[in-house]
Amino acid sequence: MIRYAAGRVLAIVPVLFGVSIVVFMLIRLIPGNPAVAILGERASPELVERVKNQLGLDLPIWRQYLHFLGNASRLDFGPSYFYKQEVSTLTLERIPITLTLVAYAMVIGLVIAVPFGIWAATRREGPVDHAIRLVFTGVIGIPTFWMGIILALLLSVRWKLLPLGGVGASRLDTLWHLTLPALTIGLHISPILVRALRSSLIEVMSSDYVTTGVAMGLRPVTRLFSYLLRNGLTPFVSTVGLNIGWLIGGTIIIEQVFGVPGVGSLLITSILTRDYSIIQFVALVLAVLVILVNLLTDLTYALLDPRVSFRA
Amino acid sequence: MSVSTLAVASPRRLQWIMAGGWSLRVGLVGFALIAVLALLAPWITPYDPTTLGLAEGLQPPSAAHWFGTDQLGRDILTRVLHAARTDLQIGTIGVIIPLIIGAALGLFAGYYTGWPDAILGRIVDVVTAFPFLVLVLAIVAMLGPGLTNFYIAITLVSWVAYARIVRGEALSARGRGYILAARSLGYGDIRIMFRHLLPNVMVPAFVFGMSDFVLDILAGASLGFFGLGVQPPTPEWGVMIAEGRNFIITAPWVVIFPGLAIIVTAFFVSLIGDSASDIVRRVHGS
Amino acid sequence: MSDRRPIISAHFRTWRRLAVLGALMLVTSLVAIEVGPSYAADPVTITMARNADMLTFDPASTEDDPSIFVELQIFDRLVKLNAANNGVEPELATAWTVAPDGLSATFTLRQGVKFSDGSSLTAEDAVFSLTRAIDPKGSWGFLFSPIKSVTKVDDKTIRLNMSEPFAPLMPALSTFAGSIYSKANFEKWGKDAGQHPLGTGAFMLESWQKGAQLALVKNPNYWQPGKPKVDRIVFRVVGDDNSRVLLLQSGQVDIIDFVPPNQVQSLMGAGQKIQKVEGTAILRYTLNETVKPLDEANVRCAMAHTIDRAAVAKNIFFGQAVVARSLLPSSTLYHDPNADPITFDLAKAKALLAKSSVPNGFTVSAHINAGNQGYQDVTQIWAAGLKQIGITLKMELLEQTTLIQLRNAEKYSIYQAAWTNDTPDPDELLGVALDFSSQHAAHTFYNNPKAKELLLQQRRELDPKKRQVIVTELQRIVNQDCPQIYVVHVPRIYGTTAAISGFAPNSQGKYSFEDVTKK
Repeated sequence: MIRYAAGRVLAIVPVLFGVSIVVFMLIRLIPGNPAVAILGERASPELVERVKNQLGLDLPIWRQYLHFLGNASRLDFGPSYFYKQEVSTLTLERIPITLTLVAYAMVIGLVIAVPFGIWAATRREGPVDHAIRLVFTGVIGIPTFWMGIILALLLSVRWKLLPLGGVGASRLDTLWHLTLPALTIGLHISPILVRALRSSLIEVMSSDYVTTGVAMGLRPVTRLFSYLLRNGLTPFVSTVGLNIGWLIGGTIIIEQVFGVPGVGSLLITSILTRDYSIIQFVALVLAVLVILVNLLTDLTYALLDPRVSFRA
Repeated sequence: MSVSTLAVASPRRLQWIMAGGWSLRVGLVGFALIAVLALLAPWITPYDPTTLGLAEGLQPPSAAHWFGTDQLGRDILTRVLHAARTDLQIGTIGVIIPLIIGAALGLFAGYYTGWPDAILGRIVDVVTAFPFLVLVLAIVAMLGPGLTNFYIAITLVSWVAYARIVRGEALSARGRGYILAARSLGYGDIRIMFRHLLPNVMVPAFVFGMSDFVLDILAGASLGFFGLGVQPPTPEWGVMIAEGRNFIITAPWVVIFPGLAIIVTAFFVSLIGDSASDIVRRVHGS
Repeated sequence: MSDRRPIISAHFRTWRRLAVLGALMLVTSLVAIEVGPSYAADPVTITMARNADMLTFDPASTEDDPSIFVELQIFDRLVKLNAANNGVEPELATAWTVAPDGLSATFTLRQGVKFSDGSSLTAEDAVFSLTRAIDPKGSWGFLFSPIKSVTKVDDKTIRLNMSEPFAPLMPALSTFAGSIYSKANFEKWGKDAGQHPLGTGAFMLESWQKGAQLALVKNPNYWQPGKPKVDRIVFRVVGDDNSRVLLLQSGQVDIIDFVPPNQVQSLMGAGQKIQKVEGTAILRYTLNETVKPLDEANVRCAMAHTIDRAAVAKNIFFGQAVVARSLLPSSTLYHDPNADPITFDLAKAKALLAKSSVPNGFTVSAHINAGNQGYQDVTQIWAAGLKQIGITLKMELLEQTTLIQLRNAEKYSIYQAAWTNDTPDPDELLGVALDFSSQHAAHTFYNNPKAKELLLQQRRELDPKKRQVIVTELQRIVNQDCPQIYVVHVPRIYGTTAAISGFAPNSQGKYSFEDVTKK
């Protein structure tokens, strides 16, 4: 297991490098002079010089990249000329709330998806299964921002059930304030979770050891928990990992719609204010987050399925 | 029951459609309906999408305006149909271009293996490390808002999914009988790749294209909503929802109908995609 | 019988691991969240949701309203506007005299005033702050242009020295630009001084999470006893119009700004209070005359006549706005609605365009606030009118502050904003609009020597009747040259819950929290 874990950790190193290259290249996509673009309309000759030095724009491209890596390792992405704070500080202090929102949304998504996934799988090809699949196919197509607005109207204003965005006065209160955004994101990702859970359960249900168990008189409840879920969970876990991108995409939109002061709303605001340094850093942070989550799910997968670590 | 049967002419395909069950049929009919309405929009809509009707702002749905009017008096049904043209275009172009690029690269990588495959693999890993929307947003941010830049961003990000699928298919297919036969006959690599391999590996890519279509429309609408995609006053469903946002309490129809348009379109396309992937799975046997 | 596996333990082990993983994720992220300090007793907190965050606490470089309105809570000025908005009252200055020749003004400072950190307000602080304020290189130097220096007479007195009589002197000093702040603190923080304020106002800065919220707490050393009546103010940044309204309606915030006009009726019906301040802001478009063909008055005026202002007032502002007939807001002194105002007249527009170098029209782009749907809609109405005379208008959406910076760098073609007067005196607005040396006449590059001459004249003219004549003439010149195109008077609409009283924005839309209470 340790060896497997070490192997997986090593494997992400080249990906991290690749990600850093993409982030590095992003700024150079800007038509025109990146230094002027970053400063936007505050560009004065001496500020432009300063930014040029910071980015090392006069150097050959490979040296620029090394320069960038050096800065990145010190988390130095420069200041945000809009917020008048360091980009890294500004972004990192918003990460906890985004992480909480993502985790919370995942929990809600699972709470919605697991019962329906099990129900659909056990009634496979029946009317219930079809109905569930149809409904969730419809849900995939609901735009997150639209769903957010409608849910806010119904749950926060009409029926006054949940608070609308913002941060609470205490940790528990913050969680309460995040419920509406998390619910929206959870609904947004639930169709994928339902589909994945249903198909991996179906696969497991038709596998040899289960049919043998049934033939030998295994009770349904036992079958469900001990066999089906335990083994059906593993491919499901890796699906979760693969779909973290979808989850983060939804979170970005919802943060902006509900005014949650996280990394997602920072990204959108920064695009509107043309704050390129922040955009770069946020893209980097989110990519690293995805990589880490995938690593985590791979390790979880190995934990759940001993065959994996033996094979590795 | 091998993969080569996929490369056969039309009559079989029609059988699949019949075999796909009602969900495929519903999906196809529904989508065709929307596409036809969108294409014919300039001729069948009673009003003009950008003409203002300042005396008739925020009218609820009525006989004169089936979907009501927005705050500038524009007929919402007209705008929804005209927006369909924009959004369907977003879905189509957002799928076709990355499909072509990704499939070509995936084909090369899967056929030749070795270092082209290794390089492609690394690039795919890196691009997929970024959440889709984040990378699209970042590229649009750098290039500037607008539809063209959106297409550029989508292309740069989406092609990897197709490359990965086609590469996988190509890898497993290259060892099959008909490919080996073609090689022993002395056919050139290019010919083998494009005439023999391609038709068989494309089907899963097309199937994925269906869900990608939905994804692209949602991304386009999201960017439109934030003012980063299609710029107003060009009608686009996301833009319409954004424009009507302030009136959701007093005139909800301004927001509801464009939203429903997205949901319904996505639903039909997803139906097509789901049943197509069921069929492919059955044909492939796994 | 079948070999039963130890079901319970297998089941629990997996679930336990997953549960631990999930719990760990949630707990870790929760632990890291910043929380504000907790209070022992229940403080009275007012929460206000505003559409934008503030940027700086340095009055000399502040150009945005959110910053201005917070500065007004943290700093005091020498004088403040009286309740009738036609004069001033003492604030940090208890008495003052203007010399008979009008070339100097002496102020006696209030004694015993302390900054929020306990240090005493001295004449040096006043001299320092005002010297920075009158600096022509600062954003607001033009507001104080005849003031050449500020000197300390003694520990209780300062004197302002002017190069010519200055009619709007007192109102100018009452604006946020005349804020008095601590010299020592400013010098201590250097270039970060704008992020670390120290003033004598009713409140002081407690915390600032950029882009999210700003918290002020009561100034324990405030010189007015019994005020303020609340302990804490939290300014939340909620850019989305709709969310602000929803927050107010559900009682999650106490006050909001920029209530969308279409929600006014429904908010009042639901028991919320609406504070509407009339005619303080004019929605207008500025045209950059370095972009051809905007340098021709015929083109500009043609464009000006294609806006259906009545439709804007009705469709976009739901009757809450009034058609503008002058560049000056109607609440300004010497406002004249009858100096040949610009009207909605397509025939006249066509005729004017025909006399220009582009009789068949052209294409031009306008930069609009991405967050303000109403302003975008107004632009759509204008675009529809322009189309009738062959001009195509393209909208480009940008965030508000970036928009301001774009305008300041003069890289725009057409820019839209609503501007407010900080005092009822028209000098500020006229100066900004017509004085080429001040910010290039609001970045339009409008350069009319005659207008400039009249501008200086009215500034010197202490007789109100004579001043009215000059200001009317200026308004007429604006209506004929159209350097800026005005649309409607936009009311500043604030909403509060029924529990809030004492929140009364003045005619400039400025609000203070000294007298606000919450049930």
